[in-house]
Amino acid sequence: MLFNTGRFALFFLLVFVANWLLGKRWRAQNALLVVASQWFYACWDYRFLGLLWFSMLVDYVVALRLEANTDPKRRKWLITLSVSVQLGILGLFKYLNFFVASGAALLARLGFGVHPSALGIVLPVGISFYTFQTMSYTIDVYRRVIPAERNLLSFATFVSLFPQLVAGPIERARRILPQINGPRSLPLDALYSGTSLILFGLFKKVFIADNLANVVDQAFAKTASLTRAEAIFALYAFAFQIYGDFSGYTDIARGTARLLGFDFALNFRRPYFAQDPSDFWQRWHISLSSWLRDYLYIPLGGNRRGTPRTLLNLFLTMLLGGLWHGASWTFVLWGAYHGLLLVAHRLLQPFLSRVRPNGFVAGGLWSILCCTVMFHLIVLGWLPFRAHTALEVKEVLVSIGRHGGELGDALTYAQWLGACIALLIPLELAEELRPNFFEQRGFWARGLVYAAVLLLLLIAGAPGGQTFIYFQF
Amino acid sequence: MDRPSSTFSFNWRRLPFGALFAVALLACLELGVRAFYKPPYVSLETYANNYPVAHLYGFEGSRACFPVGEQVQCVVTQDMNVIPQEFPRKKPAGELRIAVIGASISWEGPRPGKSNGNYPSRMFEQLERAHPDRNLRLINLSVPGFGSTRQLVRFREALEYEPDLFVVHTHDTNEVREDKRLAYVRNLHSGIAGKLLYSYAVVVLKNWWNGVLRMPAPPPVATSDEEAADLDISAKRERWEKGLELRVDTMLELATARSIPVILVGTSRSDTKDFSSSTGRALNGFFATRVNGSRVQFLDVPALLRAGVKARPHRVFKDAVHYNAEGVRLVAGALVPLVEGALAL
Repeated sequence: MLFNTGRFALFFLLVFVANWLLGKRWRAQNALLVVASQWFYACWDYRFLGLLWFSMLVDYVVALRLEANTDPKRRKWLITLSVSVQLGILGLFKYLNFFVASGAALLARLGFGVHPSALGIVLPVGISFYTFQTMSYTIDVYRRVIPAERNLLSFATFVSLFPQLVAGPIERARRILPQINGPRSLPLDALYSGTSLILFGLFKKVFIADNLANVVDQAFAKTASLTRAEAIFALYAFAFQIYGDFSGYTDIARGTARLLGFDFALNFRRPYFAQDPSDFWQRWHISLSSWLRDYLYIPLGGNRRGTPRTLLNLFLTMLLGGLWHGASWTFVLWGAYHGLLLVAHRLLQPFLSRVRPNGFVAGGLWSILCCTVMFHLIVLGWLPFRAHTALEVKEVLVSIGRHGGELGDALTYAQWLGACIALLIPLELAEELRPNFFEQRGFWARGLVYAAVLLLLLIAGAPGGQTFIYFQF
Repeated sequence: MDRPSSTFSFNWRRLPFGALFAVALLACLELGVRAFYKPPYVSLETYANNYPVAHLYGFEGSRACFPVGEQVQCVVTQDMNVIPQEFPRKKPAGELRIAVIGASISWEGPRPGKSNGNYPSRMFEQLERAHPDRNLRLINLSVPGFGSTRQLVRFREALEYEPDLFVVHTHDTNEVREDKRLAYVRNLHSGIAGKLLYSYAVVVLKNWWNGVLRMPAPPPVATSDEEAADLDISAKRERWEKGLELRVDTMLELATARSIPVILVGTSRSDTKDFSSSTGRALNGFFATRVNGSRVQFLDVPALLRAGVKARPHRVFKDAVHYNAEGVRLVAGALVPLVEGALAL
C-alpha cells in the first residue's frame, strides 16, 4: 500500500478517525495503530509479518534482560546476541544472494568454476529500517541511555508504526516511546502542518520524482549511446528524482504521523544547499546518518584516536552506509565515494577555513561557490547509486567525457527538469535563507503556493501509484 | 468564575486562511474556465468509457493540420472541434442532416463545406444536385487517426445535432493505434484521476501541459501480467475485433433508440487482390450481420471496388487504405442510393 494511492488515503482516513474517536485512551490507540500497521505491512507481503515480529520480540526480551542484568559479561553476551540476530536477519534476507554471487564470481576469476544455485530469497520490504530501529533501542538500553520498554504493545507500536515502517525515518526509542506511552493530542497547528507536509510530500513524489523518473529511466536504458548533454541532464534529473522521492516519502510519513499525534524527527533539511560533505550528511537522510554516527562511527573510535584512525573510521562508516542501501557493488562504490569526500574534506578543512573570506559579500559568494561545487559532487555521486552495474557507471562517465555538441533528447530532459524544479528551488532557497519563510508569509502567498502545488499535482502528477525508491532498501 | 475548560471557543484567527485562499483561487479558476471553455467531451462517462486507451490522459498529439494563409496550423484532434465548422445545435425545420463518423478516409479535410476529394463531400454534392428542393446538411465529424473508441465519442456528440442519418466508417487499421495497454484504462481513468476530469480547469490545463508544452505524461506502470498479455498478438487482435464490434453495436443501439438510420461503410485495403485483409473480411462480415432493412445498411466497399475495377481497370487507392479520385467516385456514387433510401428522398 503506497502513500501515493487512493487506497492508502482511505486506509489512513479510517485510522485517523478511529484514532481520535478513542480520545485520550492512548493504550487503545496504540492497539489500533499496531493492528493498522500489521494490516499495512501485510498488504505488501503478509508472510514477512512473522519476521517483523521475530525481530521485534528478540529485542523486546533482550532489552528486558539487559535492564535486569548487572553482570557486564552477561550483558555483553545479550547485546551481542541481539545485534547478531538483527544483522543475521539482514544478512540472510538482504545480502546472502549478493555475497554468494560475488564469491562465485571471484572464484570464477581465479579459475574455479563454481555455479551456486539461485537461492531465490525475497527482500522483505522495510527490513533495513526496522532492524536498525530495534538495534538502536537495544544498544541504548545496553548503554543505559533509556529504560527497557515493559509494555509489549508500546514496543510493537514503536517498531511497527506504519508511517515509518517501510522507509523510515529511523526513529530513536528515546524520542518516540515517551510519545507512545502517554496521551496524544492534535492541536490545530499540528493538523495544519501535518496536512501541509502530506501535500508537499505528494508534490515531491508524484510531480517531481515520478515525472523525472521517466526522463532518468529513458536515459539509463541507453547508457551506451547517451550524448554528453543527455548524460549530464539525466544525472541532474536523478538528483532531483531521488530527493523528491525520498524526502517526499518522509514528508508524507511525518505528516501522517503528526495527524496521529506523533512528532517524527526531521530527515531532510534542504540537502542540496550543503556546503561540504559533512554538512550534506547533516541534511540528507539525517536519521540514518545520525544512526551511523552514534552506533558505528563513534564505537569505531570516532575522532578520538588520531587523524589516520578518524579518516579510516569515516571511510568505513560511509562504506557500510553505502552497503546498507543495497546489496550491490554500485552501492558500495557510492558509499566509498562519499567516504572519500568526507576524508578529503577533513584533510582540506584547515586550508578551507583559512581561505574562507569573512566579509558579507565575499563570504556569501564563497558559500555559493562551496554550495555549487558540493552540489555537483553529490550529483556525480548519484551515478553509481542509480546505475545497476559498474559498466553502466563507466558508460555514463564516458558519455560525459565525450566530445561533440549533439543534444539528442537533452532538451526534453532539460525541459522536464526545469518544469519539475521551477517551484521547488525558490521555495527551498527561501527556507534556506530565512527559516520558516513560508510559514511567516501572508495567507495569500501561502494560498498561492498551495494552489500551485495542487494544480501541478492535478494536471501533471504522474499516473499510477509508483513505488518509492527507498522501499527496495 | 473561570470558564470550564471544555467550553468550545471559536477563534477565527486560527482558521487555515492559506488553504482557504488556495481553495478560493482554484474555485475561481474553475468558474473562469467554465465561463469560456467547452470541454472536449460529452460527459465524464463517455470520456472515461471511450478514451480509456488514450495513453497520455487522452490528449496525445494526434494532430490534424490545416493550411491557414501561408502557414499550417495544427490542432490536437481530441479537441473535438478539430474541423472548423459550426452547426446550429437546434435543427431548422425541414433540414435533413447526414452525420459522418469516420477517420482519415472520410475526413472532411482542411476546407470544410467544399469538395476536398473525399467521398462524403462528393456524395453530398451528388445528393444536392439530385434533390435541389431538399434542405440537406452534411455534418462530417471524421477525424484522422480515430479508431472506434474515439469515433463512439464523436457519435454521441453528433446525436446532439439531431442527425437524420449516420454514415459510419470504422477501419481496422486505427484500432491498432488506439489499443494501448489495459493498464492505461485502470490507471488513467479510474479513481481520483477519472473524477478529476469533471473539472474543466483540470482538462484545459492538462491539455496545455501535455499539448502546448509538449510534456507528455509518463506512461503508467503495467503489471507483469499485463505486459505479458500485451505481447500476445492473437489475444490483442481478438480484443481489437471484439472492442470494435462492441462499439459499433453501441452506435447502432444509440441510433436505433432514436429511429435514426445508419449506413455502415465497409473496410478495404489496396494491398490485397480482393481489396480486403483477413481482419477487414471479418469486420465486413460482422457489418453484414447487422443489416436491417433501410434502418441499418451496409456498403460492401471491397466488392464495390472489385466490380468497379473489373468494369473499368483503374487504380482506386492512392495508398494502402485511402481512395484516390476513382475510388472516391465509386464509393460516393454507391452511397447516394443508400442515403436516398434511408432518408426516403
